[in-house]
Amino acid sequence: MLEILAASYEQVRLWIQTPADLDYSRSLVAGLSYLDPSVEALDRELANDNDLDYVGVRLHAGIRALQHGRRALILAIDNRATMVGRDFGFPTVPRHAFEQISNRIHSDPPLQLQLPLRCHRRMAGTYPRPRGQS
Amino acid sequence: MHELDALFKTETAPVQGEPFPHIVVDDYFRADFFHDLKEQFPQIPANDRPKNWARSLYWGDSTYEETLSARPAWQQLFDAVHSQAFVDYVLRQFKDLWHSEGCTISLEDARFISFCETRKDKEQKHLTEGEHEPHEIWSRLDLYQAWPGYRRTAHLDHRRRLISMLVYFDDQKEIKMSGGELTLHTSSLDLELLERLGAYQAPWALSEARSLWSKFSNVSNTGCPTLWRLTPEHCKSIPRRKGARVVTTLN
Repeated sequence: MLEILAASYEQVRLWIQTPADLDYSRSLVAGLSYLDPSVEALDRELANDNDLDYVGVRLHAGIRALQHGRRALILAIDNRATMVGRDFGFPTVPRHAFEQISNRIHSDPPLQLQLPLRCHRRMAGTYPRPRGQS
Repeated sequence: MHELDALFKTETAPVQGEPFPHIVVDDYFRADFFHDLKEQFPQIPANDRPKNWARSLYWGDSTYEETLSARPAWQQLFDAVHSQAFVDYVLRQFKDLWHSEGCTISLEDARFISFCETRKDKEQKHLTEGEHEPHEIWSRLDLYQAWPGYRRTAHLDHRRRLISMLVYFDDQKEIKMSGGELTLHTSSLDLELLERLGAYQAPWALSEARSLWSKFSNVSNTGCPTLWRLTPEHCKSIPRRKGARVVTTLN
């Protein structure tokens, strides 16, 4: 996956999740840059770089990218990602479908989410706004 | 070399995606062959399976080979599906789908092997005998006969199957049968759970709950609250073209 991203983008920035990610990622591919391991750092990056995509296995990082108006591709590693792809039209691809991942990165399909918005509006007042949303 | 075309249609058909990838082919079997299969369908003796299950006859059962050898059409079908020609036909039909779903073996090398999956093995997660390479493909041809009272809960096909084909020989209207419809279930929590557990058939309680759930029409899957503000207007503002940089995460 990292090789595909390195070949497709000018710069690949890794938002590390655990201390082991740093050494592990360096053993896989050279030339990565790194974000601080905090949600604030991710929000800053997504908010400030207008030419940034998100491609990765973290479902909610992908949702966050969409909230910030960034293009996102979620690599499905579990049932949650698969089902939001299937039920709501989220941009998801199985994590090992490398050809599909590459094709999706280089194509420009419309984002057509099918969310039950009427129901969302009814329930929106019952939950706090997600962080990063005004 | 089997002349599959003489028995059924081997042209590829468009794969449809919902509720899971499948093809629909009308008049799949050649009419005279289908007629012969129907005429020669055996009476299957009761066995020790639950009473509400269909009676079954599997390769490896003591009377299977004898039953088929006395019925030329069934022997012909057995020989046809146990052949490299059949594997080649299935590959032609589904290889693009399997590639797109992340299949990592070289499908061009797929070859048919003759292997009898026993009745005991069929219901187990792993085969007790026989080790095969990933590109070695085998087939099975099962016969089932259902009687009044037949009922099955939602179930998965076995994890060792690449494809399944069901052929029904009774016309529901013709024999004035009540019930007996085939229901295809979309992927859902209970079926996902079965798959993860390596199980095959949902317990009754789970199937009953599914049946009850299907009666509710005022329930909506709202997903996670983080999705709620992704309105169509917001989505229109998201660029469609690739950015210059990417942020990513590891598992």
